[in-house]
Amino acid sequence: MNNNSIKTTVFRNKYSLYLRNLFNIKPVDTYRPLYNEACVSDFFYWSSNKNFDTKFMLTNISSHILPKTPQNDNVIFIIYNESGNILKKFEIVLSPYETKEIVFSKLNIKGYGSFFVFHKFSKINNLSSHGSFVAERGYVGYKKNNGIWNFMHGNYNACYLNKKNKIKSIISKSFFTQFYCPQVTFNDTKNFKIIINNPTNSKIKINIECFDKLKKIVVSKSNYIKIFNTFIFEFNNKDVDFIIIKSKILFCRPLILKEYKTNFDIFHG
Amino acid sequence: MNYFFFLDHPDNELRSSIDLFNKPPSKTWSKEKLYNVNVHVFYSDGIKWKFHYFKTIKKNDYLTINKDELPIDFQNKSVFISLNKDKITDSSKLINENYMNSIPAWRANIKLKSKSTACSYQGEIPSSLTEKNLSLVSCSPMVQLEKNINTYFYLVNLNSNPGKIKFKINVLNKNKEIIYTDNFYTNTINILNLKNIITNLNEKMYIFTSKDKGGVPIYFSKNDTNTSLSLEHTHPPTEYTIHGNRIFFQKEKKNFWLD
Repeated sequence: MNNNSIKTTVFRNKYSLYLRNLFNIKPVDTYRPLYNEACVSDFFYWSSNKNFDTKFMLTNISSHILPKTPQNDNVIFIIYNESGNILKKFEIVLSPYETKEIVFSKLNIKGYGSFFVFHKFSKINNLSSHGSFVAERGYVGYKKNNGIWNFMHGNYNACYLNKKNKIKSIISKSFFTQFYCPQVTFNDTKNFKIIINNPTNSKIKINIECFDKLKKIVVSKSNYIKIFNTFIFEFNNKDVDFIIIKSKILFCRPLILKEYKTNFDIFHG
Repeated sequence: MNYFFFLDHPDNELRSSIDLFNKPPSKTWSKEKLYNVNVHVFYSDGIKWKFHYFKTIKKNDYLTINKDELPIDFQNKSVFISLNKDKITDSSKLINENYMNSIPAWRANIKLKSKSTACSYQGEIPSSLTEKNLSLVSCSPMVQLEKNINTYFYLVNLNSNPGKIKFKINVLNKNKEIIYTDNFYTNTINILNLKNIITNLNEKMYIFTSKDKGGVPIYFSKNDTNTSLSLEHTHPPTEYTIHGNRIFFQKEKKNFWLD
């Protein structure tokens, strides 16, 4: 074993990465799945009620990764409510190059929460020979009343299904508090929401501080979010210029929903 | 470093703006020593860059710019933005500083707004893209062409060479049939209304390609009254995988659609 192999073995095994992340020593944003044929999914936000709907553009992901190998894609959809309980779990088979719309109002579920989309296809072993895993970072549309679909792509790689079909998190956490400042201002609306879900393997504490143009804190909110829960921090303050999110998650990028007079804007921070 | 840009739209009601931050989103992976930056807006006249110093952003500060605040000769141009330590005096080249190294990427909020609503996304053009000979494969499920809705395809191209070079783009369906071809230009915020180009709404995915050049592919939708807007880019092909040799799969995808 040469020096580089020893370094790789010592500093990049899962225990070393855990310690590196814990103490902020060259941390990594996500862990490697421990199953070679794993598919990683974002933990996507959904909301469906009388005035609001969500749709997911489900596509045969094998056709995007291995387009020269047409094959079916077997998809497992797992939808949680805001309290982390599974509301619905179903499977869909997509033919090569097929894309389908999954409209939440047609699934007869109401409320809000988050969901996973895991893919499985037979020739997935072509990926493991390159050290890669499938990643579902797809496109979600949100719609209010008779508005158009407001699209947003996935926010971050969150979890994978292991060989026994158990959901495993790849999200990194630290012992130290991390600070995340979305590079966006909030002074064009007084009503906005910061949406955060928890795809980690333990309860997380989130603290959001809102600053005015003088960089003084004008409002601060915090909450504990349990595993697979989704929490919406709602703000109603015209003086907020920017925000900082504090947590132990190394890459705590939120969903941001800004309300305007006739519609809303939604994007990842 | 990263460059930024204003999105333009032929509808005069829509205004373009951008939020610029002189600090990274997270200090965990960004050890940048911050300094005050000079905001330059610039465009290509086809031969040289035309720079204009706009304002200075102090370190840890931020600034919102509306495109209509720029000088009059910038109003009908494809305008890009760079943040520089010194004021730019040489109009022959882009100044690529070793700044804004960050995970996640150092971005800006790029926005289009009407009288009653707005839409945005967190975007940037990495300077590395301005040096490379790129191609484009953008698979979009975000086309909305129902009654009273229009979807526009933007391809934002910025190249270190200030010339305006024509290149061909194709729109394909999932069967690899070319349904439309057009010419775009380098150093331009190219825009294409898809209304009369894509007519089969049963197909949920369309593929936008170019063998010659690339850029940032963005999809913007609006209703006729501008009361509802949507804006998002598509992932580069590498984002369909995580870890390992992701470039291999990007090449597989590009070879398939550009063949």
